Amino acid sequence: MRHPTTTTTAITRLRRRVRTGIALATTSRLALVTAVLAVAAVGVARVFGFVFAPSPSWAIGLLVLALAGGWHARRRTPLDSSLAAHVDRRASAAGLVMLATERDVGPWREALRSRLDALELPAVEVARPLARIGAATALVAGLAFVPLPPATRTAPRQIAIQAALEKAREEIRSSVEADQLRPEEAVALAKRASDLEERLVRGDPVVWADVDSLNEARRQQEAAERGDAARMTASAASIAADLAAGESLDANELAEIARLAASLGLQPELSPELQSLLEALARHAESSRESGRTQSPLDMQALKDLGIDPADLARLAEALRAMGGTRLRHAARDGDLAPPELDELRKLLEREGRLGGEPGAGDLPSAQGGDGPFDPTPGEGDPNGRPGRGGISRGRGDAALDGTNDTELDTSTLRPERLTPGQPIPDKWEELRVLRAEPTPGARPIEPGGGTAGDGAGRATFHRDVAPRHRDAVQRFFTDSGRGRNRRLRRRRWRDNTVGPRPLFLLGPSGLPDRRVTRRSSGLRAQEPQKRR
Amino acid sequence: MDSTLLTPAEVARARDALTRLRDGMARVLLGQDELVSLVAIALAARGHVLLEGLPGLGKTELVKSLSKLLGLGFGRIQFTPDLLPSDVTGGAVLEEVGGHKRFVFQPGPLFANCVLADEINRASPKTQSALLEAMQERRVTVLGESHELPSPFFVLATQNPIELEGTYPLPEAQLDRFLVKLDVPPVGADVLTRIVRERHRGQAPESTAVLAGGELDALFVAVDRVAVTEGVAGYVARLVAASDPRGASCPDDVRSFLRYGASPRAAIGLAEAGRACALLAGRPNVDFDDVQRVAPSVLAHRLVLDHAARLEGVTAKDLVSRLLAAVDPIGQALPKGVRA
Repeated sequence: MRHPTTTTTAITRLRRRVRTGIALATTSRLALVTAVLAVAAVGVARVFGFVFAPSPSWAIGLLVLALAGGWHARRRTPLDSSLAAHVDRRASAAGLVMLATERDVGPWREALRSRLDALELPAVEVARPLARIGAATALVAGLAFVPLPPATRTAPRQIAIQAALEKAREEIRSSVEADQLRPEEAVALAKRASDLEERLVRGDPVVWADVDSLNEARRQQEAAERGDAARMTASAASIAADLAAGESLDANELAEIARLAASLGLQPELSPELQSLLEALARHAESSRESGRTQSPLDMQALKDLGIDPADLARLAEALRAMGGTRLRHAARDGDLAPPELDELRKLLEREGRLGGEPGAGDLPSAQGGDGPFDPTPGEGDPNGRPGRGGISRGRGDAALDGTNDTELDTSTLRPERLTPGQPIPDKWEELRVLRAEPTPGARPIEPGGGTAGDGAGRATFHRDVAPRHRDAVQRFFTDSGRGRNRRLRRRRWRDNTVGPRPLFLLGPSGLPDRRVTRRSSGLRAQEPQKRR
Repeated sequence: MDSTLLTPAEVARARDALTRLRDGMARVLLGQDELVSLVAIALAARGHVLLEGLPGLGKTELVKSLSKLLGLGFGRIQFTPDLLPSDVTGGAVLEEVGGHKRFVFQPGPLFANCVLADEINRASPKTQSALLEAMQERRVTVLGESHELPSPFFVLATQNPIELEGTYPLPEAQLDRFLVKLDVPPVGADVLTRIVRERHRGQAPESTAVLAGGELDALFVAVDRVAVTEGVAGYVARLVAASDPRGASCPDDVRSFLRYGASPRAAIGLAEAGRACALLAGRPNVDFDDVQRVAPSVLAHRLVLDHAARLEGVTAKDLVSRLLAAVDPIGQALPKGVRA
């Protein structure tokens, strides 16, 4: 049995339909707009290399849209008085519905009820919202099911990783060329790099830890290679020394050097005779190990009994020592030697008498640091007058200073700026020169002057084009403590009090090495003594 | 004031009285059904009526018959340029009373229930002004002494729209005091045929009172008890507010032709006329349709048109029609999403 329609129920029904209609329309519009934006965004992302796979979690977006539609419907629903007016007009009640919401209509109730019973509320519009939702679904479905070409580009972070992988491959190649890595190990590392690159192309995530792991593996392999080279070099030197002294040789040492030479792949570099000798040593070590005999020291006679000519063995030891030494030198030049390896090399060179002041030995760093030819700290030359390393990043001390190289930094920030009298130099600028005329920056080579303190503390350095960031260090080494600071203070005081033609100050950002600006100026040095007086 | 809702029986009685009045006027003024209905509505709302039309359309005859139909006292003032205010309101004359001479107020023709101000725009503004107090406050003040006019009091004025020479257009203040201004349209040939056949020497049929004693007062009370809902009141307010050219709700096609819009008195008159209209329709409450029916007659003469309207031939009733079309009665339309 149908309940009679009252004013309240009629208004409630209309309100419900209105809200449903608004929510449906809003949700469908939002869904369509969101779908279009999402498809566009995913398309653009694919262009840039991001590949989004459809996920069931995207359905949460529909819930969000429905909530937004419901919220919008609550805000947009007309007031009850307006809804009553709409019901009134649709029921042709001539104002009775509106009247009934305000007061008791009493005897007019029956007339009102008959009108409300014949009421036809507006229908919720469904077709258009469904069409919009269908279009949105079709768009998203099209995105999900239409196969698109794989991403051709990687994301910015992945691009950086790809560059790092290319660099790692280059380093592997360099290590092989420098004999710091065996080819078979290099192939394995290169394959790891290729696998990572393929993952990048597929869009699979590759993290920096993978690249770091690859580089670490290469470094470990290189370290192992260097360790073998160091041990082999030391053994070869020991054997050569024993042979020269006519002493017995350690059979284990011979076996070890054969193994290390094979491990380092040095055989192809040897002459056929030495290769045969190395193979004979390897066979002897193998047969001794299989028989389980204790290996006794081998004197010259024992060597001859084994068919080994001591002279050939000495040549083999010398060749292996030279080859191992070459590898270690390469590693030392690249700064890759670990302290134990460095000690091995140092002992070797000391044994050879190549340390202790000979030219060329100074380019090897020391494991312990401190003074001496291995001292990496700035030196001024040894006491007998020969030039040292030259100090702060200047190269050798006896090398000519050349200020003609272009700086790698942006020199466009260097500009002359005319200061008013008494105006202090801004903090971010550093004074390079004080000139009486427009500066004419140009290249000027500096003659090698030794840079020693022989001419008086600080005077030699006064003529040098020393980078601003090195000034304090130069002054600390070549002048008395604090004197340079007082000199600067006096110069500034003079400059601030000067009246007359305005000097030009060539200013540049702090720390900028300016090798193109000459420091020779007659103006400053001509004026400065006068002010002192 | 009794605010209870009218019962169907009360509505029926009031409607019957109004219908009798309307039909009585329709017998006198043939072929003007809408006009006589609006006159009946205005009278039920206790409003003054300004009839404008060409000579010979029966304006004066309508007013004369109205007083007979209502059974009320009738006064007629023929406005001429030399008419003085005292000719309308009456004045003090020197009389001997009890051996003493003193000024005694002699009521003018205004002291009647139903006053016909014939050709009201022919009088000078000074004389027209004499009607202001009478129409609004239903009293007359002469020599500092106020005299109440009889109740009910109606002014039914007529004016001729084409004779401008020697006329004085009614000021806006006085126009505003007329509840409705009704145009008396010319009649068609069929109506003229009836007039020719039925009216000998132009004599209208003799009218007799159609309302018994006290019936008119009961009608007034019933009109007062007709309910105006919040929605309808809001519609009236928005309609009047939209007529203000300085208001934001004024439609652009109305704003460009208006100098001044309707006053709050217009809103009151609209609601009052709507009440009477609802009663004539047999309803205890005002509906949007009632407001829309009486709006042209209530609002048009209160709008002050711009010169652009006169140049382009736009009338006040055109602007009211545009207002009615532009202002939504409900105010909040059903949003998209439901099929209206």
